[in-house]
Amino acid sequence: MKNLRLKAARAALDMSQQDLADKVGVSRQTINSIEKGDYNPTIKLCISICRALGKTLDELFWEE
Amino acid sequence: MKKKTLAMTVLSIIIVSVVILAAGIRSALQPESKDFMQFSNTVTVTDSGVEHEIAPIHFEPIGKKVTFDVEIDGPDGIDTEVIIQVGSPDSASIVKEKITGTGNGNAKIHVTDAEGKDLYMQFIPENSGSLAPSSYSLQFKLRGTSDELKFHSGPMILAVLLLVFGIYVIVTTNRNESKYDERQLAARGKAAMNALIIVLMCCFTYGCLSMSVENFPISMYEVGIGSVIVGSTAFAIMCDINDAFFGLSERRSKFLALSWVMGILALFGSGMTFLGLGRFNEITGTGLVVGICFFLLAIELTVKTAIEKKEAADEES
Repeated sequence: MKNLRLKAARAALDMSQQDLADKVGVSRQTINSIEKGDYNPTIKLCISICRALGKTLDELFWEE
Repeated sequence: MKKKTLAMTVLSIIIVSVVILAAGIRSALQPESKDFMQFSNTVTVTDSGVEHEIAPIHFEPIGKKVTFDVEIDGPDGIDTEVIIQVGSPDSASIVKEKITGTGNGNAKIHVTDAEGKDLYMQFIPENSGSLAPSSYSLQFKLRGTSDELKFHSGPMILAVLLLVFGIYVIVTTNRNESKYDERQLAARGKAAMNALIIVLMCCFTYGCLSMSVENFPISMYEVGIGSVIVGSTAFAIMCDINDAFFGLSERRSKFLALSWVMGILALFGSGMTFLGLGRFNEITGTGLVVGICFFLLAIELTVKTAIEKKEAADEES
């Protein structure tokens, strides 16, 4: 399932996938895979992404 | 040093030590290789001489020094000349030995420079004068002994170099673990497992074919090198398809160029290449596998680079 909330949060900060990847310390393809729903990140990476985007885990990764 | 690195290093040292130890024990227990051959033939003594149909025996000895122990059992009146020729049964003999009184005859024949040569052994029976014309049976026993399995320093040096290289790879791989992110590490792990299966399948297929096909034309050397090259290429391609071959700060352009150069050199370079010589041997066969693998890798990297550029451009727009 696509993670549109992550994509939207990133776009809201005017960050490219590469910018976010550099900030979090992963490859651009990994961010792309998470956004497309191809890869389930570990909780450690989820927290890093949330910190980089100023969001909570619930806001970005919790499925209702 | 990390626990994992230490464990892998110790494991490599143990494996190589066991291999060296096993080779040493084998060479100590069995310093010489021995082949045994036994056959019989009928010779006909006539007034004009001895007629026989003993075919020349062809040897491709391993090792430099070869000794043949020849025993011939038959009637006492037959002397047998044993000659060794190089290249063909028609060439001049390099060793000549006469076994007189064949009834209890034996001889040791030494060839001191036999490495890589085709040797032919011929038996020429003669009537020493005391036998009446008739047919007689001769029993031949041949034992070849070579110095090949004596312990050589070359493989020892190679094993030590491999050990050093293995430790270096393990240490650098573990040190550079942080250059891949978690998704890449998982993808690399899967690719490594698949590559290992491919290598095992290559070896298993070779084993089956070499058992079922007599004189299977591919040697262990080619299979060993080829399997590793094919496995490594499969690993690299599988990793790159999942964007896990290059680390976070690595550039693919250098490796892409290197792959094309390696592929072209292995296939078209001057000297010992398949396309250069136009025939297969161990070196050209291995070179062909290396060339094809690097070409496949280069093509995959080129296609992936184009896709990567397009994806990055789409994402930015």
